[in-house]
Amino acid sequence: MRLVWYEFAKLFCRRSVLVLFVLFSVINLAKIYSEWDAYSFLADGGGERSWHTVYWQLYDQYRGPIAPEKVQRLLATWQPLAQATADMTANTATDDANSLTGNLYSDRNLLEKYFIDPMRYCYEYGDRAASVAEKARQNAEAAAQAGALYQQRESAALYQIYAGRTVPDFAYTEMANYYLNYDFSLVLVLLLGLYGVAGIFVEERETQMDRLLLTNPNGGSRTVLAKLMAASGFLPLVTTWFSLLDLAGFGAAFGTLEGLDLPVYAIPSFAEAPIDLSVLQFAVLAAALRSGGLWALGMVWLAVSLRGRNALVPLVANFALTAALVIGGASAAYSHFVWAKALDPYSLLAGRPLLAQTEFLDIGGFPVLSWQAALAISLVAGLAIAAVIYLLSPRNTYCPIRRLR
Amino acid sequence: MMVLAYEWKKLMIGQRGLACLLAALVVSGVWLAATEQPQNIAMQEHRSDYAWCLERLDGALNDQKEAWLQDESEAITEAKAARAEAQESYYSGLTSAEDYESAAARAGEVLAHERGFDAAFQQYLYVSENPTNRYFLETNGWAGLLSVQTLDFAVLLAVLYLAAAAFCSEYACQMDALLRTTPEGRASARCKVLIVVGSAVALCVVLSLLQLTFFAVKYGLPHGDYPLQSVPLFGTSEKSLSLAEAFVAAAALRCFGAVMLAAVLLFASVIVRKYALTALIGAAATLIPLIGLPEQFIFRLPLPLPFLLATGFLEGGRFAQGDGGEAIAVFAEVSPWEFALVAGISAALTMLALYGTVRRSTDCWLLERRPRFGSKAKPAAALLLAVALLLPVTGCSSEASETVVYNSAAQSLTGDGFAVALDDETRTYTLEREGAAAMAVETSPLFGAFSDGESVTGAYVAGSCIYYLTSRTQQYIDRVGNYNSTFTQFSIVRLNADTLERHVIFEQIADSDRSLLGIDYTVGDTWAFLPDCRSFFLNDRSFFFVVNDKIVEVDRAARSVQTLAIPASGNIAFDGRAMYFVDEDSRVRAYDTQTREVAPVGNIVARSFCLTEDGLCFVNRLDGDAVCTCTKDGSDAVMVLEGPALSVDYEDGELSVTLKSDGRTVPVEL
Repeated sequence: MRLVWYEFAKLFCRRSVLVLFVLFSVINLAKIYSEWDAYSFLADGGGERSWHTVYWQLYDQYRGPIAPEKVQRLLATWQPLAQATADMTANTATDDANSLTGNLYSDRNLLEKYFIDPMRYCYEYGDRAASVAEKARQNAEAAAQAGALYQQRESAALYQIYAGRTVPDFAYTEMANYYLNYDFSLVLVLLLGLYGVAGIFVEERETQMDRLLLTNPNGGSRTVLAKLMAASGFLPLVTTWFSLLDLAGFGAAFGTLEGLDLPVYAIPSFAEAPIDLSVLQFAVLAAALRSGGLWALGMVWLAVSLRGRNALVPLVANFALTAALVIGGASAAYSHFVWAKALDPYSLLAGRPLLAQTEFLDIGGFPVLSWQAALAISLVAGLAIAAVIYLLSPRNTYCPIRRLR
Repeated sequence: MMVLAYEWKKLMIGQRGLACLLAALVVSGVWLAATEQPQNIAMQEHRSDYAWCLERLDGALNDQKEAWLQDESEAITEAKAARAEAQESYYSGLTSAEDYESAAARAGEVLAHERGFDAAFQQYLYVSENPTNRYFLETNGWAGLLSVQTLDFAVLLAVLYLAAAAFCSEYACQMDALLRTTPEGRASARCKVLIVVGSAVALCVVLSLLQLTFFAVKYGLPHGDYPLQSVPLFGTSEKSLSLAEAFVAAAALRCFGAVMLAAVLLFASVIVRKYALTALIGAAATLIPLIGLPEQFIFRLPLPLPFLLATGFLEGGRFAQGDGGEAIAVFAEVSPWEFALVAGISAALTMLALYGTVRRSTDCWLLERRPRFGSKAKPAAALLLAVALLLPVTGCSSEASETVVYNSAAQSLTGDGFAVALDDETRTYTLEREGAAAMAVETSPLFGAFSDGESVTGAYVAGSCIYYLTSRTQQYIDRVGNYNSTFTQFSIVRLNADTLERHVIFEQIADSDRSLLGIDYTVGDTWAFLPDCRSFFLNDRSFFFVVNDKIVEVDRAARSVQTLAIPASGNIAFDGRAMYFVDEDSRVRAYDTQTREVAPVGNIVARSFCLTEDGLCFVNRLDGDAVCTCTKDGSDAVMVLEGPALSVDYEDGELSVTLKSDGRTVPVEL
């Protein structure tokens, strides 16, 4: 254990890694702030009639359980506005005293974008999910009739997922939406992870320390094991840190953590999410998948750098490999070829390609959700590569005792 | 001079810099050759017809050309009408064969270049928006050449490698301390800088020349003196450059970008003294702005990235429609003074970095040659293994070519023990199996459940399998204000009616504007036909998509696209090997999909036809629109119904005829 800690301290508690951590964190926060600034309509300052102020005033009235009385009240506010602005002949003044934000069109847009549309989506979600479940049940029956066992199981699994899904509450979903759709930090995680891992084996070879290590009782395969474990600690640490930072950053930029306890399918782009979790739990799961994916990718990086004499060749090779995987994974992100997604660690890193769609893989006649399959594949592949690295680790053939062992 | 030679040998041979450069060139070249697709597929596919039009149009638009275009367009419309009229009167016996033939020949003459003219007319619509700087020319070559003068990942990696290797190798073995004591220290560092910068320039120049040759050979690069704006990508640009100048400028900018990257990296390497960190700095300084920053900021930053993405400096402003219909600037053109500022700062930074590098220089003199590691057999073995692994992936499962009866006009398709019916009103396809309840062909409960952008747009039946084409419109990212964010993806799914197994066998995004990791890019309009596809069929080698006025064949393995010169306005029948259609002269013809040859089917002149199990059934124009049957080669024609008919249909094994007299549809016994 001490060996692992020494290796960890040596490899990752370096000035350059720490500086990069800080620098990338700052870049990430700046990017998150720019997302808010560029995409949120509520980023229009804190004036009395700004969307920001008006929205949060109205929000208090409509948040929480979607009750008929609230819907009526909302429609009563919106319908006159919609009628008045429908033929584009309403007053276009920007200081209209009768309006909330100073302009009737602006009022209508605010209500539609932030209240009517999201609330309608939440309200209708239950029915849509119920119809999906019902169709799945019918499919299961049809498949049973046709004797198609796999299709029957798949439909049954689909029924289990969608039966009884509802979104009972209305809440602010914008922050959660942008947070779940944000993947810039992935680039930073990959760069940092790659940099951290690149030097693990080659650094000692550069200084020819590897030969010296072999003469040490803790050298050879023990050191290799310690290095593997240190890397296994470092890579999840990187993803965890950036996942936390993303959440904190979005919370700070949008100025709220509202909406994190909604079910994840309350966000329209996650309507087909195969899991029944809240946004916060979903984020934790996504971070865990990201860690798993990065760890598996890290093992591949290590395997590539195993024979390198200096850090450069493996690093460039790993860059090329990672770029190929990322571009391949990103272009397959919306594909129906589920195997392509499950085999590419990028899908785990980004999470969305797997977690926003209910897709099954036929493994031995059983339907397995694509994210579970991808996680299992990555972990098995990572373990296999780690085992190979360990087995290929140099041994001191002049040491009779260890050879005997 | 000796020092330079030593340094060159060390960096290029000893540290395999040359191999890296060559690898970058090969990868870029192969990638270009493998993935390049024409920007304007119509112009490319009907090249000779388009060239015929260009003979009259080449160059700037003037009144004469405009008049010619209008005349020709009218002439084509008239010729079509005249031909139809002549046909109608000839087959109803009002005119003689000679008259008809001369009329058809006249129409044929006008229509000979119709498809090329369509491409030219589309170009006319573009040119006429701003005739002063948009000229007629064949744009595929220049559009392709200019659009590839942009960030090349292989070049980036090669420059990273060379720049990091140059000085870091000395630091790695602490040679630098020794080097300062030698008289040639500075000269050696200068040589290193010179070699790295020189190879970055050489790489970019060679790559640009390679691309120039590729596009010159593939499409031709005519009229380099025409204005840049003639290429649609640069349509709104305000730069007054010619196409050739624009290419030289873009190539030069890219060279400068590579030099700047090399200089910055060399400087970084003498500061941080580590391979990994140097390479990381290079990658981070390029990739983070590329992915993280909006496009218009990138071109206003003194970084290597904007110069590596050279073409952005030449592009004009781009606008998108906002929610309220207002124009929103997606990309603002880089004005000359902004460019001068960015370029000036960048050049100064480059010079400073190079000066700083030499100042902190080291020398290496007696560096032992690095022993080569790894045997040469390993890469070869790895390559073999990769090829062996890839082969089963690329090879498609082949199905035996079987006989089918497919009519694109049919509302219902029959297979072994099941039928697929199309409801024209709702555009839904229903699968009816014996002894089972009817169901939609796309049974996935999620299909269309949460979005309106999903639909089944075509179906085909062969044996016990149903193939259906789905279209799905989706957003890349659910984000307000991201204008380029939707895409439409088409998939062909094979459904086995017995086991209900489903496999996606084809998948393609149709849009030419794409987005990957938030980076927007454009590909050619090769797949733009998919949204217009009305029906499709397939054999074990190709997919055939019936589009408004043409049939597009897509090779299943190579994904190559070819437009077949078959008018697709009427019924298209397919029997697993040959495709039957009625040509412009109302003659039934067969296109053999194996030999790719068109042959007339007997001497059949049909108003309407369909394929049955036994042969063809058609409304005979030569025989007063009587309904006849014949074999697939056109022989043994037999009349089965005398009265004049409008059309024949074959569905579910039954033949039906729509009568001319009262429009009734009646079944016919064979």
